[in-house]
Amino acid sequence: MIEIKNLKVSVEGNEILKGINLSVKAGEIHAIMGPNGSGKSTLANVLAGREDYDITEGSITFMGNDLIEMAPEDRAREGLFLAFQYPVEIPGVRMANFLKHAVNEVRKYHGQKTYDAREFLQKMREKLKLVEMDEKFLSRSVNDGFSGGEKKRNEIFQMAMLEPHLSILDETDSGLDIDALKIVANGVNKLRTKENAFIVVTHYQRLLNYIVPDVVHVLYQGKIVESGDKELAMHLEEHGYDWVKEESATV
Amino acid sequence: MNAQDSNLKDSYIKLFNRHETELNGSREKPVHALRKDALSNFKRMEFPSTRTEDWKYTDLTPVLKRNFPFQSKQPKIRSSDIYTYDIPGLAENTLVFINGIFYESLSSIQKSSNGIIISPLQLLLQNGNRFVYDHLAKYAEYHKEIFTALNTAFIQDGAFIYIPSETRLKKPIQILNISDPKGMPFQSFHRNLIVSERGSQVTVIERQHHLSQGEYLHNSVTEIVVGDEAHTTLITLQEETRDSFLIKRTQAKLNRNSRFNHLAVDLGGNIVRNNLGISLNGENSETHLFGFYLASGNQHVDNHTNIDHLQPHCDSNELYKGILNDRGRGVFSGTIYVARDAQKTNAFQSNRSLLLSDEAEVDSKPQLKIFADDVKCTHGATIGQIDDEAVFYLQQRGISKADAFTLLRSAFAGEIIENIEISELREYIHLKIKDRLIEEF
Ligand SMILES: Nc1ncnc2c1ncn2[C@@H]1O[C@H](COP(=O)(O)OP(=O)(O)OP(=O)(O)O)[C@@H](O)[C@H]1O
Ligand SMILES: [Mg+2]
Repeated sequence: MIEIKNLKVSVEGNEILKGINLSVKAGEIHAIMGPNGSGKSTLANVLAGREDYDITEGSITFMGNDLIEMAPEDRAREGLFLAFQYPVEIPGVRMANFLKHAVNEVRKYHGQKTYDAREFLQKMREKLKLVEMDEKFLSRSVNDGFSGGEKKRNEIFQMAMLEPHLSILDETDSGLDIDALKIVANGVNKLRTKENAFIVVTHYQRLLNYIVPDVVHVLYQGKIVESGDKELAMHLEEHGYDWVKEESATV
Repeated sequence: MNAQDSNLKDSYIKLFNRHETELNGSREKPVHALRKDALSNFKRMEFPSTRTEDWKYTDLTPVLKRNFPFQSKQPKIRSSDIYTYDIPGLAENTLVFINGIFYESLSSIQKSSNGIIISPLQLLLQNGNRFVYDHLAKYAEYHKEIFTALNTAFIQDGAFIYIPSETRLKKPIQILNISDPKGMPFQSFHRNLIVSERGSQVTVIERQHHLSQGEYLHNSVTEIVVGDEAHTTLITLQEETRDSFLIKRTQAKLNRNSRFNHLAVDLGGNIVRNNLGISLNGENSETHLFGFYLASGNQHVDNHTNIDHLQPHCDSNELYKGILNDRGRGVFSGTIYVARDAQKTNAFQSNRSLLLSDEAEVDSKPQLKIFADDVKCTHGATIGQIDDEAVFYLQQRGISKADAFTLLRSAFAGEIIENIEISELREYIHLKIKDRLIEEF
């Protein structure tokens, strides 16, 4: 699905990602953990195509395409989705309107016919149920005045609407109470198929009890310093990152 | 006063005198006394310059030096010519004015038996209608403002709307002003009067469009009286030529427990000056004022509001927004006056602008004159750009960058437009704004 090779990224001359190698196949869930400031969001943003980063070395292949050359909207249309760590409030743009625009753009890109109003409403209702969100959100402005938890659920709702191939969830679990966490995890599990893949960025092992990863990576100072199965997450939960830091210092 | 301005004054006065000799019989009408009074007020007033405090940011020199001739020819217009401006199902009553002159053949006015009056004003001035004379020129102060004095002295035509007590109109009344200069400069004086009696309800939509290009000056005055418990809404959409000059006075008087909503959208014009005065003259009255404009090229849009809180327990709420590009200029000057007895006043004022070019400019000038002590009054002005984070968010969902910009700019306007309850009109205005945004922003 996605193949990241020796990816090096700088912001204003500071190297933040220092040679990332990561390969995710269809049907897999990868978790990325790591201390604050280690570069997790940077990686997520670079994959989504945010502009402020300089890619100095390396390559990213997504579904056979050179991702680096693609505009952010084309990445989205090809099926790459980022659930933002901090979803942006957009006053004046109604959820329903925004989603219809987005979904139809993606459909047009693939030469599919666009939804009419009725079909679309039906689809939205179905997906709202998945994240247990009320229909009244559809007439509100995107994320405007949403609570922290509502914003995160809204990201999963949008993911469900867009049906991406690869979803990157950047700390979608942060700030969620236990019920909301289950709702989000449940949403992801329901959307999971053999054809799609997830990269889940998190600080907490508890999410991984619900979304069981195939691989867990530890990102530290811009490098993946450990990879393992879900036991690695348990180990981190228990022992913190000190051992990772020590190990990488001795290398 | 400079020579140019005094020449201009002289030419207005000469014109008035010439008019007077042509009036014959209608010289006896009471409106003539009003005209003469307005002219004598005009004579002792001066045209504003940028040294005049209220006109500091709006230089009228281009208007004053032109000395526009009066319209003499009435263009032949058929309904098929203005068909494109039709919004199906919007209004049952539409008054059509071309270059300020009433066109009966293009208008449609329903016969009504229950005392509602919807009529061109001029006709009623000639008939000596009591309601007209009870209210005309009682609110817009022609002894204080030179353009209102001129408008009153040269009063041409406009709409008169009278809603008797306890009458609630379901469908809006429409005033359609069409400019058709065909390249020939002219000036016109438009005058509306809207009287809503106790407990009545009405929405008036005033639209300004153009059929051909050219320079002209519109001097327009609208007076509004809102009776006790009455509820009046005025929505204006202005799409005049980009060479036109528009000076407007809208003056409303609110009585007890009444409500006046006003929403103004300005898309055209070269220099646009909207003077809006509200007098909250009865306890517990409220007003909601919204304005939106687009200024590109060298357009200049100046919204000048005065809210007078004269009685206790009144609310006023103002939100004015603009998007500017190129060398566009915006001015917002909002004065809130709270009289000593006007306790428990709530006054909220906000002015927000989106600047899309380095050369565009906005001046915002709030003024509070508060003489009561139990008052909640807030005002704020912000000037900003499009939020890059929001653009990226939209792109990440598959929306192109260009579409994301358009969406966000429309959203900025949306905060104003959403207050229009009539969906046909809301959609119409929304599209007009979107088209302009795509073309010029
Ligand atoms: N646009 C930017 N400008 C300057 N510095 C940046 C920018 N983006 C990221 N950085 C820096 O890069 C480093 C990595 O940040 P990043 O947000 O990727 O960390 P993270 O692993 O997601 O942390 P957290 O767990 O706190 O979310 C930080 O030191 C951050 O300050
Ligand atoms: Mg982060």
